[in-house]
Amino acid sequence: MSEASAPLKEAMLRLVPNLRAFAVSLCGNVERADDLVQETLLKAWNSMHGFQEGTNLRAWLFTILRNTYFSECRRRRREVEDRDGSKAADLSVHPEQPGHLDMEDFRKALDALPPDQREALVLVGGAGFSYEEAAAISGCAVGTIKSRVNRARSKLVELLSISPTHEYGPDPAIEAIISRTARGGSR
Amino acid sequence: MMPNNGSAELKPGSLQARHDDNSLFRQEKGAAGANQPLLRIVYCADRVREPSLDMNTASPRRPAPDRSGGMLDRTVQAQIGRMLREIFVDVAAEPVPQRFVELLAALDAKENGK
Repeated sequence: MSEASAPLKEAMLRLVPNLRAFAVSLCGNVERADDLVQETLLKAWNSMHGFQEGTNLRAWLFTILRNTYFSECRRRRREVEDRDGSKAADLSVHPEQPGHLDMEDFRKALDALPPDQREALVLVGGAGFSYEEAAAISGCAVGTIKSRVNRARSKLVELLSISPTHEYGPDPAIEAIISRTARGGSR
Repeated sequence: MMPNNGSAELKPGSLQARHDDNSLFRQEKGAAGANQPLLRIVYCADRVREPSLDMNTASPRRPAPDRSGGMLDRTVQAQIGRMLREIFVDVAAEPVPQRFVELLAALDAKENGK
């Protein structure tokens, strides 16, 4: 496999921007994302004999990346036990302006999702894969992907307090400030 | 339970809530303007008037019908979709970092040297 590796190299290079986008969407951290991409490229290169010509290189690389990410998540979870719990408790994103979604708030909420739900959402909503392709990449049933996407969406709406089922949020606080300042101001 | 009723109900409710919003802010803005400027409130009022946000500004104010499991607001979904896409597209538009160019070149060179 001497000159035969050149086209694969070019093809992988062309897909690096996509892989980085997927990795950043998944883990929310550029440095960690680039480490994931590097590991993905190395693994892919070392197992490229297992790659079948004509199959989707992009989906194959995404699969390697997500597998790397999830095994890393499992390792980290063992190291830091209550991380997910404390993170979820910390998080109550109330956008400054009700109904206005700020990118920073959105990122926080996205990071607070369970990793499998975030993955499904990113594959379908971010990378634009079909449910079928996303299922193949994640190694699960199409129905599972669909339900993860739905749960992820509902959870995002809940976390961002843009759901009408939430009575709390920034409004009472703003109203309190308004009435307080208005009272003070008119004196 | 009844998604159709739920969403049909929401419309007049949200409109009303939106009017409340605007009149509240306008009124407070006017009252405040007499004495001292309230930057925060002015800012909020401006945001509230953005037409693209109209649908959602009313939402959190309303002790709404139980819509859990029902259809989520399409505008909210559209915003979520847009942001997901934005994160992805923004990073994908960045040039390939040099480290990956070098990594693949090194792997390729090693392969050819075999």
